[in-house]
Amino acid sequence: MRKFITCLSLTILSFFLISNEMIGGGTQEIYPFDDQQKEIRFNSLIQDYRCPKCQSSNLAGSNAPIAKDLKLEIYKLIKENKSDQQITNFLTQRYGDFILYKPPFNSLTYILWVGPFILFCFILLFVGWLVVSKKPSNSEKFLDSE
Amino acid sequence: MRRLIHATPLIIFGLLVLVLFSSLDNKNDQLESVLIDKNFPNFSLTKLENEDHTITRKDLSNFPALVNVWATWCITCRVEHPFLMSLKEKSVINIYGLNYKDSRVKAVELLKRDGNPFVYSIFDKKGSLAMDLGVYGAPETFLIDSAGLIKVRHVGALTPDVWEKKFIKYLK
Repeated sequence: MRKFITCLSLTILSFFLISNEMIGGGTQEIYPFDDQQKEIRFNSLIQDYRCPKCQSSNLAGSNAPIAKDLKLEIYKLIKENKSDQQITNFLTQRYGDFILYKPPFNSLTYILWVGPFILFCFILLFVGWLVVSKKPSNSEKFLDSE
Repeated sequence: MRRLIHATPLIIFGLLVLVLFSSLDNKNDQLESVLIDKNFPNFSLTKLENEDHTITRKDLSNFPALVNVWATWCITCRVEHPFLMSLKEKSVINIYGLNYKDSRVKAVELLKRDGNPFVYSIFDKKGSLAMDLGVYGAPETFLIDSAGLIKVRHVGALTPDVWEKKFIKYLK
């Protein structure tokens, strides 16, 4: 039993390590910060920006040369005490809103933001309509069986 | 009516399959540039051919002109090279090179060997001007119109076909 538990925990652990490797956790360059707060900001920011070259990964998980350049640039900007908003502006002025994983709400993207709610309302209406239209037939059945 | 309602999920599914299937083939790696209709960004870098010669935006003139981002390590740049040469030979348009994250010696050597389609090249070792342009890989080609505004950005090899479709309308 003890063997089994050891085996199981090792398996779980190795899965965790593999997945960590796969999302790019294993190939991190070193960006030294003297302020831990800044390091936390850096690590969270590079998760939120998309790599313009390999468009389905973020900067943190990308090894494309341009992703490295952008990470270095973000590193410099944080060291210069720039705010998150200033860094976002720096990037969108060059690479557009595309670089943001969370797109801003504007005339191009409103459908992304409100679309699901509209769809949900439609579904509610549809389900409501189904329920209402089914009721009489149900009661008929009920009466018939009686 | 009832039948139609029952068929709705199937119809929606069918539409979804169509949409997704058609977008499988849609290989759009062309990011829209935010610099369209904006001025070419300012810069201060050296000339590829002469490291003592600093150039800035003011040194780009004779518009309309192309700015072509290239490098010796970039394979697709070799593909478009003959077309750039033909543009130069026919004096269609001025082409400025932006040598991107490259070695000066290698770049000069390559131009000597294969021909130089550029008026001159800007040497951007660190890729700073390229970053201001939103470049994310070489080759990229920008068209600056006669008013000095960026009108087109093309990512990938500049071929006669692309030239016809995207660029030529700004030259008339």
